[in-house]
Amino acid sequence: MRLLWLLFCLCAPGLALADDAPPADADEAPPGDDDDSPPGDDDDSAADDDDSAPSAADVLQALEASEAARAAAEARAAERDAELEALKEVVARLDRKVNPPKPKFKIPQLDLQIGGSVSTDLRIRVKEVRSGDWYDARVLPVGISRQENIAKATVDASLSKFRGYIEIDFVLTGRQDRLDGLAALSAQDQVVPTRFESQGAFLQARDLLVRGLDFKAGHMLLQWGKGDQFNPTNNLNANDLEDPLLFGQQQANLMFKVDYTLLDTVTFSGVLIPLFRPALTPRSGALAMAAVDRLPFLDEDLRHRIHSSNALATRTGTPTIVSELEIQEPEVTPENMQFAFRVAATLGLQDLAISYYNGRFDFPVANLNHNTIDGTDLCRYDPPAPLSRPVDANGDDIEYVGDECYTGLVNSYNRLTYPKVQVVGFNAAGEIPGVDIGYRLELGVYIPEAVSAPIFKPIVPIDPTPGPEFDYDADGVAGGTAPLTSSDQVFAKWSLGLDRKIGPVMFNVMWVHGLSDEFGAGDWATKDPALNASDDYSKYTGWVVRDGGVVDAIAAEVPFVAAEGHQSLFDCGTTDAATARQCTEEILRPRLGDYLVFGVDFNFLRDKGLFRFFSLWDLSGYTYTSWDAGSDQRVATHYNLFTDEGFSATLLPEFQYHFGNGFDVTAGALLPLGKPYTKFGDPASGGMQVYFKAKYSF
Amino acid sequence: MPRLLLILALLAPSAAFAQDGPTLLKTMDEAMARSDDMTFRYDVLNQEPGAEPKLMQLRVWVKDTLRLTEFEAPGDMKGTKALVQGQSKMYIYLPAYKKVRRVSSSLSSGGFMGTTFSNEDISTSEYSPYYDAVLSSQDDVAWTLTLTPKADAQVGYSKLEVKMAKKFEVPLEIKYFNSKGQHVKTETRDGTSCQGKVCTAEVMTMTDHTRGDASTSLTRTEWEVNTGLDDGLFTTRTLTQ
Repeated sequence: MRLLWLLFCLCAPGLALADDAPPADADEAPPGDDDDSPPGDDDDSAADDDDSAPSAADVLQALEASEAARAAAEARAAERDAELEALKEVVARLDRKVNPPKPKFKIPQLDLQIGGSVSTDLRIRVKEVRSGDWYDARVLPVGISRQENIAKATVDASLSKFRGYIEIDFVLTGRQDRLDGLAALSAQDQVVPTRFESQGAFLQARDLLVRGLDFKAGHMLLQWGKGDQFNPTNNLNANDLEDPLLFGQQQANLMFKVDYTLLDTVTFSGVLIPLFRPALTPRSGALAMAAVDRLPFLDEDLRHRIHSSNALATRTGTPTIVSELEIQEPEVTPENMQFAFRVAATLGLQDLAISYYNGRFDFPVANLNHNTIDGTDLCRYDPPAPLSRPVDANGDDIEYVGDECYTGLVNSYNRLTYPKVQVVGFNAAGEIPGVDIGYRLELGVYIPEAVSAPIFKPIVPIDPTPGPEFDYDADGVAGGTAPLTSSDQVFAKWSLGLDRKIGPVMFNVMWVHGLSDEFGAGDWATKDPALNASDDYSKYTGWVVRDGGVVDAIAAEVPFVAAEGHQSLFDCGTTDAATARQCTEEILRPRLGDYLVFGVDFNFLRDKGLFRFFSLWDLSGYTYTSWDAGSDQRVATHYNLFTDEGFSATLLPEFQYHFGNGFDVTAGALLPLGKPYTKFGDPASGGMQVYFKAKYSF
Repeated sequence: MPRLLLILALLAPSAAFAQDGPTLLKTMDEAMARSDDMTFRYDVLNQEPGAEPKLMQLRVWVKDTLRLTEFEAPGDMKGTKALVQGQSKMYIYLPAYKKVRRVSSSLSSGGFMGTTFSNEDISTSEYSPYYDAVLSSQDDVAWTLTLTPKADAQVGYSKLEVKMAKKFEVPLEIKYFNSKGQHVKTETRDGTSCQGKVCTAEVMTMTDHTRGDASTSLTRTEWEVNTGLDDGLFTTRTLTQ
């Protein structure tokens, strides 16, 4: 009996744990109910049962069986407990999904983040760059081309739904270009030029009035384009090309922006930009003013006549220079406000957006050309004004060997405007399934307004053509329909980028159709494929002139004398278009170029070191056109990227080292290559430079 | 009574062996996802052999498989944000460019902002969808699971060995193996503590054996659980704000 009791006691917990164990079992055999014997009679009881009691082996077997049963019951119970807990957890999570817990109430606290950086930037031009003839020479010498020290400060404050952000750069430019008189030596701003720049000063409200409704106002950047640095749909901010190393940088502008995000997946945006801001151009851009042969007119016949006319003016003693460029900014009126809309969403693993912009192109286009004669004599070896030329014993100007003199200059005053444009944008970014290649597609369809530029010329006795307005159609009567400098033909710009990382090397390849400064219809996509013959190029107006003038044989001859097989320069410059066509040569390229961008990033020393090679290749090539007396027509010859005449590229090798804790140094080189008429070999690109930068951020 | 203890002691392992690898892995995933959301602040110490340690501070918001990380220091990384919306959907916001950029998954095996954690390491919040698991061993403290990628899973490792804490059911250590089967990284998670049923490590250290045992340690300095983070926090909309 004692053994049975012991067995029962061992089994009881397990049975109690088992839900299906009859709870009455214990009651059926409660302690003391076995018999009336007191507990102290255990020994006797045992003795009483001796005769009928099982053997010790049986008891042990029974005990083990019981223990096993109990263990199994406990295991089942434990499993059920675990299942129950898991179910409870699932129920709790589902409950939280259906009835999300209210956020713990927190007293809103001001989150103030202050940061900034100090940086220095030293650049050295390693080869002189010059443009223009001696009477309008523009030179960028070898030496320091930029020395800037910038202190940046940012303050980012947010409280609850509201945020304010300020970012200010204080720039010490290091050196002045020119001191303007003795008084300048007392002017700190001339001796130590400084300036402030701001990339942000705005306020922002999130979930204003309703969830998903955001409002932002102030001086800001809005980058809608998905592409890397080449963004035909980033039209809201003006481009900032002042620093050629910062491709794709834009300037902040005053804007008002409203976003509504629906279900965290689709965002509708509206932006109002009250004030127009023009693009900043490179400092070296002034060299482009010397390129008077880059006529902006679409009409080829008109260009031939102007080339000839200019050559005649030069040959008769008054070469043409661009004396002044007036920038005509749009007036601040409601009609001139820019606005834009966008819808952005994610479909599967693809980020998509469509946008609409109504505003202006931020690079100017000529809308007036006015020429006057400055009759001041000038010679190549004249001392700089206000000094006068030395005289000999007779009081006559000393003459120098090889000197060259003119009786004056034709000063060309040009007014530039910013054409209105509408841009329908499409952006997509994501990943090409299966190959782990990320892509970025950005397309802008531009709907521009046409811009024309009347031309006014000086009345001179030698010129028999009517004036003062140019006789555009050569009908003997001054004026007519002013020539177009930009057409209203729709065109598209795009960039398609792919990136892939293999080991420590990141590859980035892009096809860019139309850089940020290129505008107007003129590319392989809009060119009639039927225009294949060499003389068909002239039926197409999508060219931009990179170089031009009368052919050397004509220019070298006395103006009224015709070189063998040519017209005289006088006839070229004063008769009709048919004559002028026979006199000139031009180097053309499409208004919208195609570029291959290839970049490689090689990280080493655990991302502390970075070697970057970035390159931009002009795929469009260049087309040389001239008169072919044999076939009695103008002919065109195309030079592609792989020819000496057509090659143009920019290479940018760079080394960065991140010391950590906010300190970085960078060294690199900017290498624009190509003939002076090409996109990147252009002197206005600033020439070859090496640079060193250091920055500490805090 | 000694016999009873013996029996109970024998019972325990039998219950454990009843757990198979997939079940344990799922349990671990569930244990790591017991909260609705969490917010952390970490001090990050990046240690390269023979170099001065690099210090960073970052803040992390986590909800389900969504994760937003913002760097608060040093200055050159301050304001940089990384948003993970899934293993193949990651965005980065670089304040210098004021632009959100989609990060392709070929970058996922690369280092996350110069640390020894890869983008994939950072973005993985659950393992069972991508790995098959086998219970390979155990001791008093932990089960050791061997994880191999599922056939269609796009992951950067050929094998993981995960020590899963019996007490907290979260990882204590993860060994990472590359496609050649070489043990390339070891992640340790020390000082696990809990708020309710939600348990996380106080210090996470990733050691990269291919780089002379360079390591990154994330030391938890702040930790909040179930603060009611809005889903809207984990959108690209937030990155620019």
